[in-house]
Amino acid sequence: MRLGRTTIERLFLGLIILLAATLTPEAMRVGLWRSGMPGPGLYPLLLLAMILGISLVLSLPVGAAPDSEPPALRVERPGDIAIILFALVAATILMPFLGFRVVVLAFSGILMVWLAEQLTFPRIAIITAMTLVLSFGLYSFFASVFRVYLPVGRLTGL
Amino acid sequence: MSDILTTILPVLDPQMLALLFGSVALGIVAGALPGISATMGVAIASPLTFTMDPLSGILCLLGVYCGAIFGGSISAILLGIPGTPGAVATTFDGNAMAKRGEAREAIGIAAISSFFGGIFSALVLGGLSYPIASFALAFGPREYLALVAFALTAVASLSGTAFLRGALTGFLGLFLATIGIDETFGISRFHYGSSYLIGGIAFVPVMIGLFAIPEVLATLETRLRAPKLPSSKGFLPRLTGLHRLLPTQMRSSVIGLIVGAVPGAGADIAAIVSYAQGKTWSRHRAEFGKGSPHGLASAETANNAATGGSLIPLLTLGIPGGAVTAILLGTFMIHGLQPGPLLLENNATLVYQIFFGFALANFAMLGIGYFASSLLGKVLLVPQHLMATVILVLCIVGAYAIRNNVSDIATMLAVGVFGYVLLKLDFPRAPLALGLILGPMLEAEMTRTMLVMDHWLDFFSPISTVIWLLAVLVIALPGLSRLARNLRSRRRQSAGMPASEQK
Amino acid sequence: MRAIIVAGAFAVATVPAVAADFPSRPVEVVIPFAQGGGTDQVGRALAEYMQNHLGGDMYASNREGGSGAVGFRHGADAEPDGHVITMLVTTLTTAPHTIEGYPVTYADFEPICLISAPPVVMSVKADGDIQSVEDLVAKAQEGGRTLTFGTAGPGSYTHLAGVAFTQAAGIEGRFVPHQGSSPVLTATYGGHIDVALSEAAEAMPWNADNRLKTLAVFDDSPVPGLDAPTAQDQGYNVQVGAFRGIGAPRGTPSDTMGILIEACRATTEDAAFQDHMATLGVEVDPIFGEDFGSWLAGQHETFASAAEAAGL
Repeated sequence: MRLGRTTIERLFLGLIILLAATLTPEAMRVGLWRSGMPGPGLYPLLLLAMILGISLVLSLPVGAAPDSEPPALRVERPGDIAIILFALVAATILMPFLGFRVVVLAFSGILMVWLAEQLTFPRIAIITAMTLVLSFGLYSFFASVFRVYLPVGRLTGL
Repeated sequence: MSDILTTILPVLDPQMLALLFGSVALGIVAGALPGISATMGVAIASPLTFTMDPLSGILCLLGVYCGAIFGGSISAILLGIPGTPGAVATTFDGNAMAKRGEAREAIGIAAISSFFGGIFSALVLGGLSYPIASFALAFGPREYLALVAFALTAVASLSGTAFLRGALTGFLGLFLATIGIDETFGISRFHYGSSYLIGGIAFVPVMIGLFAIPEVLATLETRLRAPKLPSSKGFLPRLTGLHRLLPTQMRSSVIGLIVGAVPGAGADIAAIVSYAQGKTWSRHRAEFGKGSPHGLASAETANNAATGGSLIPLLTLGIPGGAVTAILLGTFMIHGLQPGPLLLENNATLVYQIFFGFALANFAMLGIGYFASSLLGKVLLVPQHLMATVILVLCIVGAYAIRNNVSDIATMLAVGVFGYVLLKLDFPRAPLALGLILGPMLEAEMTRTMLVMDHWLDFFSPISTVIWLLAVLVIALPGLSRLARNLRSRRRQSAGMPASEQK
Repeated sequence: MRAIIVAGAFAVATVPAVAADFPSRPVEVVIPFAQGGGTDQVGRALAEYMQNHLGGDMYASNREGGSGAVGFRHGADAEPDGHVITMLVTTLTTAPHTIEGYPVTYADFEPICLISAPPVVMSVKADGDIQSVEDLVAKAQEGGRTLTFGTAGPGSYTHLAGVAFTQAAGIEGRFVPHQGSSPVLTATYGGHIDVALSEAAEAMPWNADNRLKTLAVFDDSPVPGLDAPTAQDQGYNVQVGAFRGIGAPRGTPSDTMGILIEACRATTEDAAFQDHMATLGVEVDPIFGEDFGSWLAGQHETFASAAEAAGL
């Protein structure tokens, strides 16, 4: 994927400007002035104004760094990155339902298999062991030593 | 002489030493685990101390505390995940060193720097507590506001030349801190009806998302082969050249101690401010962020110096400056002791035993850390596909465990994606973390200052004015020196010197 | 190979023992505030001692955020089988009136027991020019400067107590919020604010070494260990205080509630627990079950009117 770096940057800054603009009404809603002193909305409004202002300046051609050409923006292995992010999102969503142990077992198993360059037999054994350690092992460790109970799934009770 | 001996002898009792050693070890493990912060470690250990005698109970908690603050550097160095908020600044150079194959050296430096900071603060605690404590009492809203402003100037040095970009992320961090219930009016802001957001954005999930996740993704992109075994053979990190770190460690100790002594500011702020100051003044500042031992030392010395520093207001005035000292205060009270001005009068022996024990705990921490560094360094030889997954799972654990809130994992993830974009687009991420930590303090102190002011000029007080001037100086100095250098080179140019010979 | 066996052993070990009775697994005590605070210390101690009387492990978990909103909400939404109990504290009855959109009230819980209900006290710098409530009122009426009152947070019981007092005394006051009472006492001692509003236990050590002087106790009887008259005695009938208790989610079956209430009763009668609480300055003054429920409703109403009076 080869979008120009400055374009991507401008898109990013544009999103930030949009976000800041969307949040502004809420800042005004909570009140800019209250009982004779600055209200809860004034300080955030000033922050949003600064964010808006700086983003605008940075997105102007003049605002960009005047020195050498910025390096091209590349995402290597976008497939790997996408899989990881997708897996993380899935894990987060499923965690309350399936619980830490089940989700991490699946998550780590899938990721380790996907990321491994070759799947030799010893590797598979190590991966299996590691997934058990990371899921059930970590859960028991935190529960027994620190009395910290990692999420238990509503549906599985695990 | 015999007085001193009788005082410290109980601390040197084998059972006490074993307890101290065990507590420090437990603290190191707790700190190293993402998800267990130093505060949590101390909170979890505190019920264990209910049945101990006062000295044992307090030393146990102090051991866990200083162990954990050092322990946070272990996962920061090896995994890029700060194990405790105090280790955020350690990630910058520590992880870079580990990627170069110098993990063992990095942990060794972290251990020694933590030791230096801890012992420094122990000495000050033993000698100068009362003057410092009285000074800390003089801090009211105006002074705190000036202090926060001073800490925020760190954004400048953390951003390097990309000041505007750093300012943007800094303001974003400050804004994130406003989500949730406002401290002055009790009005909840920007939560849009969500009962999760009404609780505000927690720092630890953001910290993990901002620093750990982008690093994992970036590493996977380049598919770094596991770093080669360190070039130096032998079991322990090299000791030569360590003396060169002394000036950095001295400066960082002072900064860490002062920040720690101010109630409300702890190891996390101490480390970042110290790192930023190092990046402003140190001779080696160009290397900061790329794996500089000086950068690492700046962070790790300060956060441990803050541990002793935070004990100063507690022991001298009975003022807990943060969660850990609040727990310690509770522990004192459970054992029938009241920290405050009378403590030294009524229980002098115990107080000096505590100072001594605290110093010993730092020795234990140094020993364990230094010797474990070799073993720990080998962790990085684990193949990438395993390592990345382990790190991600620990990120999940870390984000959840801090508040037992599943939605915090989502926050970590969202910030993680955002942090990755920031990384790719060359926006400095550290100012965002700083903004989030300092945001609440900034707003609260601004409001309180306004409430206690009787008229406009009342804004300035002797101490706060000094701090404001220092803040202005820190921001202006790099710019001014660059200006001076340009002027000098232009003068030489007009005097006919060839460009290559201009300094 | 070994790793797998060890991991397997761990897995087996965590499967809870089959038990028909309650509790069948460790009971969580939700503390809706951060570690180190007063609620945290009482909550952790409670978990430590009550587990002996409950017949099962109890552990404390901190779920802070939103002035207790996050933790209270979690406790209220939990399975009503008694395995998640929540520390119920004053904020639960004050925040619904003062924080817009506060998502939970006392009605979302089944009350188990009240542990303590300390009153708010008012203190000033010991060596200052205010040595009694009369001095305070006189100074306020002098004009020139509005006196500053430090509170533990906007809409907190300390704030409401302060408002109730200034209204009863007919004086003006500027309320400066802080994060908890400890910074308030420190700031008062440092001379940055004029009056500190805090819990009795927090002010006691400052009185003991003569750094602060407590002028009045906002309760119907004085606090043992604190040499200060009640506000009532000096003509101002203000009675506002804090409380700490525990509750289970609404809908928890009555036999489970019975077990929990009995365990709490046994804990409050446990000498070791009482000693522990005494060292923390907490006076154990229990109310159980239904009685606690009606008491809570009363508190909710009291704070409703106080908040209205304060214009919050």
